[in-house]
Formats: sequence, structure tokens, C-alpha cells
Amino acid sequence: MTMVEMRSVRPMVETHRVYRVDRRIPEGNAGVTLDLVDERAGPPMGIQPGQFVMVWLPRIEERPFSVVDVDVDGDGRHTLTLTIAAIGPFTEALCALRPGDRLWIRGPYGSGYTLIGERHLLIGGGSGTASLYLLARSAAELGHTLTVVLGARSASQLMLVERFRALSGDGPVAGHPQVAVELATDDGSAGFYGTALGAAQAVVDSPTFGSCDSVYACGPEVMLRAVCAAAAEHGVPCQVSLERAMKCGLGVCGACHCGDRLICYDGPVFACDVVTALWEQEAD
Amino acid sequence: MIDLAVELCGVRLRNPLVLASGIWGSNAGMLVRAARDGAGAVTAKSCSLDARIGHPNPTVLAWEGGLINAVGLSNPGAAAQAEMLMQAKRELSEFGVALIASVFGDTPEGFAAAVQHIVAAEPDLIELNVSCPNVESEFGRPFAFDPDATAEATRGVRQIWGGPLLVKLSPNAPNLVDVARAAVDTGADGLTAVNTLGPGMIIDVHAGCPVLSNRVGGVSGQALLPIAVRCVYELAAAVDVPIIGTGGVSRGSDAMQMIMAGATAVGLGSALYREGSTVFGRIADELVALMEMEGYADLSFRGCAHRMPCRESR
Ligand SMILES: Cc1cc2nc3c(=O)[nH]c(=O)nc-3n(C[C@H](O)[C@H](O)[C@H](O)COP(=O)(O)OP(=O)(O)OC[C@H]3O[C@@H](n4cnc5c(N)ncnc54)[C@H](O)[C@@H]3O)c2cc1C
Ligand SMILES: Cc1cc2nc3c(=O)[nH]c(=O)nc-3n(C[C@H](O)[C@H](O)[C@H](O)COP(=O)(O)O)c2cc1C
Ligand code: FES
Repeated sequence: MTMVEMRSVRPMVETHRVYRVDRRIPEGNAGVTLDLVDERAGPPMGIQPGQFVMVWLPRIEERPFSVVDVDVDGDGRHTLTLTIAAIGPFTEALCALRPGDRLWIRGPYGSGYTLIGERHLLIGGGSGTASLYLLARSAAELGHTLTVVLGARSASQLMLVERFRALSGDGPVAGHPQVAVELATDDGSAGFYGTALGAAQAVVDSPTFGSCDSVYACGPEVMLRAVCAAAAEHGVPCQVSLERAMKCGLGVCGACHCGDRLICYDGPVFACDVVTALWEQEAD
Repeated sequence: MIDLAVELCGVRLRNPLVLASGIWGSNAGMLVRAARDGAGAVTAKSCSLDARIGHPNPTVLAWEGGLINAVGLSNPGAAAQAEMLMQAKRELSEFGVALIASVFGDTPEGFAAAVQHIVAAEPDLIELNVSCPNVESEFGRPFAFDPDATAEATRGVRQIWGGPLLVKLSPNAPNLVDVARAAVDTGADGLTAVNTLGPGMIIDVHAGCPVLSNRVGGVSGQALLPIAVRCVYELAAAVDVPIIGTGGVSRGSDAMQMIMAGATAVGLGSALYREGSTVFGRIADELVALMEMEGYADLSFRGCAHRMPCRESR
């Protein structure tokens, strides 16, 4: 019967894996970055930049978070990095975790970013910044040129700035890739004075935009819409990562739909032409 | 050319494969995608008169035998649901794919009150979900355990909906056939068998607690297949209405088992977890290949497992 019965595409089981907080780095007063160590030293997660995991705190909740970074040490033990913006009960519970505390993770899920060309523009608003770091690191490791725009309400709300900056110095990537990090704040307390949307537009209008091969963005949807529109206008390929409330994370329940796509299964990263059509479907 | 077309309660389906309720929700975009990818009919998520948020996460888990879920019947309420279904119906008719609306209530009146709204969307069929195991703590025992309660819910809806009416049964009901007879006697035109099994529980041994926030949830997928096939077989022997055989179908041979047990159509739910709606095309292809192998030109082998000897050896 094997002739007519193909086997499935997805792994059979997706149970939670237990991680322990190894390091807790405050991100201004916006939240924290957590380095998590896999307790059982299991095989590292194979993660594409832009993919996400479901994080479960027993008896509390389970929610989606982008994988910021993943590192494997000499013993095969891997460290997973997440960056959490405290905006409600669950993210506050995550921010309250201390080194040694445990948390439960399943995934990774979804489809990530695809690097196009060698000169990239990355635009992150708020916690959307988290979705872009692994992409930036991958591009830097390939020796590509990057401009990263990070936006937030105020200086104290900016996330992962030093981590992105380190990519161009003596950070995790050998050599000195060209990584320019630009900041924008709604209140002007750091970098460009204006909303993430305004900052994106300023970058979009700058020569950087026209000269880049591809744009990647994650953040508030109003910002993503503006980025998509500008990219289309300049004929630059663009990918954005969408967020929707999630239940299963498995492409089953339909909670995270946008038009005829599921953010957890088909996304969260979509090409701009796809996402523009989805927004139109949603508006109907 | 093998013909997969079937008639379900007077509604023609281009093939017997039906998207099961609760998979992919009720949004037109998702239902149309299932249709585009080959479903013969699509069932929307169950709705109630009033909106429900459902249970907190975790709500769905994958395990070796399939899925376990306690989504908790989250839905926007029947009035909003009717709006969504109206749009879905419009778009689905372009594909010639039938829309099945699904409704549940906490009382017989609740079922009828929700159906009252849903009628406006003119679905091709309405399915009464009397069998959800995930809201037992809230609603008490499912209607589908009790022939009288099922009859009452069915009768109430029958008075306000003249179109094809399905009643969805529970694999947990020890008196499954009695419940089915009660539904048919009070006006059901067909049956859907089955809803999820259980409830079941999965405990995370490191956390030392159940993983689902609801603690228990309905079991679906592969683990359910032999039970669902047996339920369909028992029902087909006892009542003379079409059945949508649902539970654990993920291959062409699973669908064929359902049809041989007596199902007119075959529901697919958990199978979408693995591969999305491309599963419809794959299972249809596998079913056709099996039919060719066995020399069937159409689905008239339905119920053949009831005949003794089952089929002649050739
Ligand atoms: C694919 C994906 C990846 C994500 N990655 C990250 C990440 O790396 N880091 C991170 O901090 N967060 C991320 N999020 C968002 C994160 O899941 C939510 O912030 C979290 O679930 C909120 O839970 P809560 O209980 O703290 O707040 P809730 O009480 O659930 O929400 C608090 C308030 O914020 C609103 N809200 C909820 N989610 C968002 C959101 N995403 N953006 C803006 N407002 C929201 C709610 O409507 C509510 O008003 C991601 C979401 C998705 C879908
Ligand atoms: C996540 C999920 C949600 C479901 N929601 C509903 C629902 O709202 N109404 C309903 O009648 N059945 C619901 N079901 C049950 C399915 O329709 C189906 O009867 C059951 O899963 C068995 O089929 P399967 O093994 O193909 O999944 C749900 C199942 C799952 C997995
Ligand atoms: S959360 Fe995406 S389908 Fe359930």
C-alpha cells in the first residue's frame, strides 16, 4: 500500500521541552532578554530566522515568542534566547523569572525570513525587534551589509540595541560586517524623533532604501503597512512578520487567521505582496 | 474515470471529503481555502447564541496518537457567525462546495435560538453539535449521552429549519444507537459520527500537572480511527440516514474504511495538522488509487462491510 499512501510532512510529536533561565538581561523598562538552557541537552532546535516558539508556564498560560538567538556550546548544549516586552499578565510573569527558573517550550513553528541579496534593511518596532535579530546575525555571518532601524516609544523602551550593535564589532560574528544601527523614539529621547512609522518612512525616503536589495520588518501593523507600501513603490522585495492571537500554534484551530492564511502555519513571515492581498481580504 | 460524487441529505458533493467542525474556524478565507484544495463540503466551527472566549492556553496538543484539544468552543456568537457564514456561502458556491453550519447550545432552547440566526446565512446543511466533551464542567453531561435530551434539541431546531439537518454524536455514548434513533425520530436527516473521544488528559511529568489549561480535552486523530469506524458501522446497521464518518481519517484507506462501514461522507479534522488542506487532494488521490486497485468505479461499495461474506474474493 506504500505506493498510494504517502507519509506526513510534520513531525509526529511536539511535546514541550524544559528550559532553565541561565541569564536575565533587563531591556530598559520594556522587558527582559532571557538566555535559556535546554535541561536535557537535547538536540538543538533547528531554527530559521523569523520562526517562533510557544512558551508555557504551567498553570499560567502559553503564548508565542520569536526566537531571538540560538547558540550551541562545545558539549552540544544549546541556549535559546527570547526577548519579552512586558505588556500584560503573561509577559509580566516571564519578566519576573530569575536564573534557575524553568519554562516549557514547544516549536519552532511557522516560516521565517528568506535573505534576498546582500544589502538589507531591517525595521523593528517594539517587541517586533525580537523577530529580526537572528536574521541580522545570519546576514552578518555571510558578510552582508545591514541597516537596522529599531523603534520604540522612548529610549527606555528600546530593545536589543546593544546586541544588534555588537554584530558590527567584536560580537558573535567574526570579522567586521557592516551593520549600521539607527534608533527612533516617539518622544525623541533617542535617535530619530518620531513614531516607528515615521522612522520607517524617514529611512524609506533616504538613499539607503533605494540602494538596498531587500527589506524586512516586524512591529505594529500600521508600521508594516507603510513599509510594504514604500517597498512596493520602490520595487524592493519586502517581507514582514505578522502577529495574531494564537491558540494551538499548530495550524489547526484557525484562531490566528488573516484572510486565507494562518499566521502560525503559513507565516508569521509573508512577502509584502501576499500580505497586502491578505489585508485587503480582511477589509472585505 | 472514477466518480467520487455523493449525495448527502439531498445535497450533492463533488467528493465525500468534508472539513470537520472546529478545524480552521469559520472565517470565509479559511473555509474557501479548504474548498479550493479539494474538500467536497466544509463545516464551520460550532457557534452558540452568545459569544464565548473559550479556554486559556494551552488548548491544543499534538501527541503520538493525534491531537487532544480543549479549545472550549470559542466563537463570536450566532449573529456574528451568521455574517461570516453569509460571506463564506457566497464564495463557496463558486466552487460548488457545500457549507455546513455547526451550532451548539446549553439548553434545547439555546440550540434553537442560535439556529434562528444561522438560518439567515442559508447554509446547505446545519449540524447540531450535541457532543462536545470539553465544556462538561460548564454545561454538564453532553446531550449526546441522553436520547431524550438529543431528541429535545433536535425537535426544537427542526421546527425552525426546513433544510438538511445533521446531529453530531459522541463516541463516548454507551447507548450510541439509541441516541441516533432519537435524533432521527425527531427530524435529523443525517448523522455525523463522531466528535472527539474522552475527555482525555496529558500530564507533563516535569511540570507535574495537566498540560491543557482545562486539564482535560477531546482526543482526536489516529487514536480515534478504529473507534469511529465501529461507531459508523453500528449506526449504519441501525438507522437509515446518511452518515458523515469522522475520526482519525488521515489516509485514503481510512476514508475507504469509513465508507465500507456505511458512511456517505468522510470528515477530516486532525489530519490538517500535518499538511494543511492539501490533505484533501492527497486522500482523494489515495482513495481513487485504492478503488482502481479493487475495481470500483464509484462509491457504491458503501456499507459493504455489513454484508457476509464482506466481498467476493477475486
Ligand atoms: C508570532 C509571534 C511572535 C511574537 N514574538 C514576541 C517576542 O519575541 N517578544 C514579545 O515580547 N512578544 C512577542 N509576541 C507577542 C506576545 O505573544 C504577546 O505580547 C503576549 O502573548 C501578551 O500576553 P500578556 O498576557 O502579557 O498580555 P495580554 O493581556 O494578552 O495583552 C495585553 C494587551 O496587549 C494587547 N496585545 C496582545 N498581544 C499584542 C501584541 N503582540 N502586540 C501589541 N499588543 C498586544 C492585548 O490586546 C491587550 O490589550 C509575539 C506574538 C506572535 C504572534
Ligand atoms: C481543535 C479542534 C476543535 C474542534 N472543535 C469542534 C467544534 O467546534 N465542534 C464540533 O462539532 N467538533 C469539533 N471538533 C471535533 C472534530 O470536528 C472531529 O469530530 C474530531 O476531531 C474527530 O475527527 P479527527 O480525528 O479527524 O480530528 C474539534 C476538533 C479539534 C481537533
Ligand atoms: S493558532 Fe494558528 S491555527 Fe491555531
